[in-house]
Amino acid sequence: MDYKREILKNGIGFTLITDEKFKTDVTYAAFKRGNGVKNAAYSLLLAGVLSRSCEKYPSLYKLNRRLDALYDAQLDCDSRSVGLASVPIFHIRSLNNRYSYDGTDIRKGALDVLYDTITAPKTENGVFSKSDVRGEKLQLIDHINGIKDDPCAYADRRCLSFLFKDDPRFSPRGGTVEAIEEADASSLTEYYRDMLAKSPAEIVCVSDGYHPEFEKFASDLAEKLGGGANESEDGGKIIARGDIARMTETLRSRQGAVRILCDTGDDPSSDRGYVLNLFNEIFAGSAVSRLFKNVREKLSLCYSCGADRYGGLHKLVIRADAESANLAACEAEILRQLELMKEKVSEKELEEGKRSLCEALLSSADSPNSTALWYLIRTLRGLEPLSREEYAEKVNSVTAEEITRAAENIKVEAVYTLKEAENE
Amino acid sequence: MSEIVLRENKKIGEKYCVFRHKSGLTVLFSPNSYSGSFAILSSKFGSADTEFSYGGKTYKVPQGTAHFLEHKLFETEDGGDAFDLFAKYGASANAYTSSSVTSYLFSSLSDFYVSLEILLDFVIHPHFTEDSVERERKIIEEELLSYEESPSNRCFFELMRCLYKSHPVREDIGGTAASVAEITPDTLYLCHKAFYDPENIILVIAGNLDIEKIGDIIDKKVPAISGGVAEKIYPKEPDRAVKKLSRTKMFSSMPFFAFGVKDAVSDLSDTERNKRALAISILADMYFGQSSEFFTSLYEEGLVTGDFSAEYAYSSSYGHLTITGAGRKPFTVKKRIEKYVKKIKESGINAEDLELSKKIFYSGFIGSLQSSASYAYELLYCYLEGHDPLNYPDELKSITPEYAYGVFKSFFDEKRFAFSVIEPF
Repeated sequence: MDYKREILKNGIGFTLITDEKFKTDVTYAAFKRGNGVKNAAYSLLLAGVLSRSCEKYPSLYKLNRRLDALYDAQLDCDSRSVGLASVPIFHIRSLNNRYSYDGTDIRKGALDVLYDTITAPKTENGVFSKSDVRGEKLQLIDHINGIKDDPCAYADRRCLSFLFKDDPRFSPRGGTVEAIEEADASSLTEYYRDMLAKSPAEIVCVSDGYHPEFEKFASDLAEKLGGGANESEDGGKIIARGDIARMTETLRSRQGAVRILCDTGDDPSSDRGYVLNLFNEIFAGSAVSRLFKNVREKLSLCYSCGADRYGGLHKLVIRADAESANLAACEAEILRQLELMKEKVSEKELEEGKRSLCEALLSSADSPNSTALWYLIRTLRGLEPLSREEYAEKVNSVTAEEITRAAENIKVEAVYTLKEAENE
Repeated sequence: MSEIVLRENKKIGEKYCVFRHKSGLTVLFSPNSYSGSFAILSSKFGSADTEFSYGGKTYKVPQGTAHFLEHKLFETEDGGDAFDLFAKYGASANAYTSSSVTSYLFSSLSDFYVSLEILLDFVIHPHFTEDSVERERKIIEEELLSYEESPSNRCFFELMRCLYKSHPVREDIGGTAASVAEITPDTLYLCHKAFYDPENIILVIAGNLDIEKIGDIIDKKVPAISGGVAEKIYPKEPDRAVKKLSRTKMFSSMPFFAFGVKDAVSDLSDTERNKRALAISILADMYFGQSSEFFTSLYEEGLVTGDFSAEYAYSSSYGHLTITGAGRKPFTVKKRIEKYVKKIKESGINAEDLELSKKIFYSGFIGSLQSSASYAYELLYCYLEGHDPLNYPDELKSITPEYAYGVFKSFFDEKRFAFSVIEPF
C-alpha cells in the first residue's frame, strides 16, 4: 500500500492511497465545520439537497441515470460528527476502469459527478431550489421523528443530548427538528457558500494504482475552495458534572435501554486513544468481553450490550438493551463490572483483546472504503496519519497496568434509562 | 477428498475450486492475496424447515428451532463458549439463520487453521444441557421482542402472511415467544442429527491459504460416515396471495408499507428458477430500485422516505418480490405501483434501460469479490442456488429484453399481489 499526502493550500489536504488489490476507486471530500445544533442541521440538510441533483443533472432521476451508466457508481452525501466538528462528507465509489466492458471511463466520469455535486449545484436565481430544500427538510424531520421506532437508536440519541445538554458546541446528528424547520433555501445556500469559502477540507482518494485523474480532481476542487483554519475546538473540555445525573424517559415499547455515560479523562489531542480502545475491547467490545459474558450470557440481563467511545470528546457510552423489568439489575451489574476493571486485567484478556482489536483493524485494509475512512478521520481530527500497522504496534505495547489505570480514570457522569410507559 | 475441480473466469481474473470430502461435506475454496481469511460453514437447515422426515418418521418442530440451535451450538463440551476459543487466536466469529440455511463463520488474519478446527468442532459436535437451553430461551425471547416492536419488520411479516397460506416462510426466523417455549434439548439434538450431517453442510473458505492443509483439517475433524439427511416437507401453496390486504395498528412515527408479489417456483428446474430470479431481480431494480424513475418521483413528491427498496427472495419452495418503504400515503403508493405495472405491461421493456440495469448487477458482482468475506458469501449463495458465480457475467447476458418482458408479464399477475400497512395509533 502506498501513501502520499500533501497540503494543496491553506487548510486543504489531499491524501492518495494506492494498492493494486482494490477493485473499486473511492474518493472522499470532507469539510470541517463548527458544531452546534444549527450547523448539525444545516450540514445534513445540505448533504441531502446536494445529493438530489446538480446543474448538469438537474433531477434525482437524471443524476441517478448518469451514475448507473458509470457502472452503478455510488454517490453518498452525508454529515457526521468528528470530535466537536460537524463534517459534511461527499463521497463516490466506482468500479475500477479495468472492469469496464464497453470502454466507459468510469473513473473520470465518477470524479466529474462528485466535482459537479460539490461545486455546481442546481440553483434558481442563485439559491437552492425551494422545493428541493422543502422536500429534504421533510425527509430529515421524518428521519429524526422515526428514530423513536427503534428504542435502542432512540436511547443512543437521547442520552447524548442529555449528556451534552449544557454544551452549545455539541449536537446529535442532524440537529433538532426546530433547527431544521428554521432553515430555508436562502440560509442553506449561504451556509453552503460559507462552507466552500472558509472551511478546512480533506480530500482522500483510494485506488489500485497511481492515476492522474485524482490529482486533477483534488487540485480543481481546491481551486474552488477558500480553505481556512479549524473552526472546531477538539481540545476543549466538555462541561464537567459533579454528582451522577439521572434521566429516565418512557416510550410505548416493552423494550428498554440503559446508557451509562462516562468521562474517560483522556486528552483527545494526545493520540493515546489506543489505550482506551483496548480497554473498550476487553470491557465491552466483543463476544468475549466482560460485559457480554457476564451481563448477557451468565445473568441473561440483556439481549445486547456494548460501549461506544467518542474519541474526540473523551466520552464513553456503555449501553445495554433489555426488558424494562431488567434495567436496574442490568445497570448494577455493568457498574460492578466497571469497578472490577479497575482491579485487574488478566494477561489472557490483554492478549486476546490486543489480537482481536489488531486483527479487525488490519483486516479492514482489504476494503478501499475503510482505508479511505481510516485516513480521513485521522486527518480531520488532526492526528498523525499513522498506518494501521503502526497503530497496531502501539496497541501491542499497552500493558495491563495501563488498562486498569484507564479504568480508574473513567468517571460515571450520568445514567439514562428508557423504560416502557406505564398504563399505555 | 474427491478430485478438485478448478473454476476460472479469465476475463475478470477470478478463480475458485470445489471438492467433495469423503464425509459428504462440500468444500469451496477461493485462493487470494487479501490480508484477511474467511470461512463459513452452512447447514441447509433454516427457519422454514419445520417439517421433515428422517429415519422413517415424520417430524414437526416449533418455529424458531433452527435459530435456537444456532445460538446453542456455540456451547462447548465443558460448558464454555466457542467465542472464547476463537478469541484466543484473534479470530472474529459469528452466526446467522435465514429461512433456508444456518451459517457459522469467522474471519482471521493469522492462525486460520486452528480457528477452522474450532469451527468444525463446535458445529459438528453439539453440547448443551437443560439449564443452558433454559438460559438461552430468555435471551432469545428478548431478541424476539425487539423484532416484534419494529414497524418495518412487523409490516414485512404481515405481508408474508398475506402471501402464504401455510409455508413457514410466513413466520419470523426466530419464531414467537410461544413457539420458542416449546423447544427442548431433545428437539435441538434431533434437528442437529437430521440436518448437520456433513452431507448437508457446505464449507466455503477464501484467503491466502494452503488447500492441502485445509484438506488435512477436514480429514481430522469431520467424521467420514454419513448418517443420512432429513427430507424437508413443505406445504403446497396456492398460486395466488391468500389475503389481499393487512392493516395493523401499532406505535410508529409514520405509516410503513410492503407491497408483495408471490411467485410460483416449485415446478421449475434450478436453471430455470435461477434465470427467472435474475430477471425478476433486474426488473425490480430497474423499475422500483433507488435509481428508478418510479422511486425518484415518489421521493421528490414527498410520498416516500429514502428507505425504499425492492427485493426478490426465493428458494426451491417459495419466491416473492417485496417493495417496502415508509410514507404518509401508503395507499397512494400502492395505487401508483399497480398503475405503473399496468403501464409497463402495455408498453414493453426498454432495451437500453435493461442494459443499464445489467451494468448495475455486473458492478455489484465485481464489488462482491473484493474481500475474502464477501467472496465467500458470493460462492456460498451461488452454490446453494445451484449456479456457478463466475458464470454470472454470461448469465446477465442471457437476460434479453424479450425474455425479461415475458417474465414481467407472467410474474406481475394481480391475483398474486398483496399489501400490508402499519398505521400509527
